[in-house]
Amino acid sequence: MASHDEAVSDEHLVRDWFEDRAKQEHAVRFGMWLFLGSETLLFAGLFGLYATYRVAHTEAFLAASHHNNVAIGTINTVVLITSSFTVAWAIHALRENRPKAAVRSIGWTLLFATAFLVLKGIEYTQHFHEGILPGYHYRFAELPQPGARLFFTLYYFMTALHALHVIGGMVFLVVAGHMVRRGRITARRYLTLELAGLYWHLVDAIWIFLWPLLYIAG
Amino acid sequence: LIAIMQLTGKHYVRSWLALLALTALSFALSRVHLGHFGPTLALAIASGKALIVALVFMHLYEGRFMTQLIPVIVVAFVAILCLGLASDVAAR
Repeated sequence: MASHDEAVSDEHLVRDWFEDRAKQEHAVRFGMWLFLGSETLLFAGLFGLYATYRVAHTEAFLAASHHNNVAIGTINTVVLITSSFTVAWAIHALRENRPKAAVRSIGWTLLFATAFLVLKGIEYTQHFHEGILPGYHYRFAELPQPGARLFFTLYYFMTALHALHVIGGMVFLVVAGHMVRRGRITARRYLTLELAGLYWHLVDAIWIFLWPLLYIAG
Repeated sequence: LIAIMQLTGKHYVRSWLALLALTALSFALSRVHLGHFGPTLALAIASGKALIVALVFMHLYEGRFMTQLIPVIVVAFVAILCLGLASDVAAR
């Protein structure tokens, strides 16, 4: 009966203009990758600015990146990489028809994501206390200027934009996790979870580049 | 239906361990003075890590050619932008 129900709902889910579900899912996946591509290009502007200012103010950029909390940055890298693994594991578990394991894995991911944001918050607080603020609000005089101000303005833009993506990815994962619990995402139909996972991995991939640029650049 | 080789649990665990190892390697190298070569090496390791994430975690390995093409083009665009801007400033 269950398989009959699924077959009926599958048919209902395939739009008229697609021959079958496989083609529809390919189109959706392709669309998601295009979206992720445009998201990457949003960050590309900031990476371009980083490259420009780094060449123009190399010494200040090195000094400023050394001033960043390497321990927090590195722990956050490990946390995000592990969260990417737990998302991949959630999809893997679901493919093997283990929805409870999938939900648990999504739960771990959300926990890691929260840890990432808390650590980022601690780091921001440390900077605020030192007067390291973006743009004209920058007050920390111990680092060479104007390079350090440019570095930290970019640092705030890049990490805050990234943190917004972390929050967006968390919302997407909460919705997907809820759908798995409700039986709306199953071993036979898990595209929504796959898309949430793709978004999460992009967040991880961007951090993989932010970490060397902002923490261990020297 | 065409049978597509699916990634297994082993692939995910090994990729995760490889990502952690590359992070440790990158961190260790940052403690050694490598001069101009340091940042280049750090970015090369980061690219390797991103490739693992894309191929295994994002299932690009199982994906179709048209999907695989998107990240290749995007990475090329980002590289052109960054290298163009950096070389312009460096040449002044």
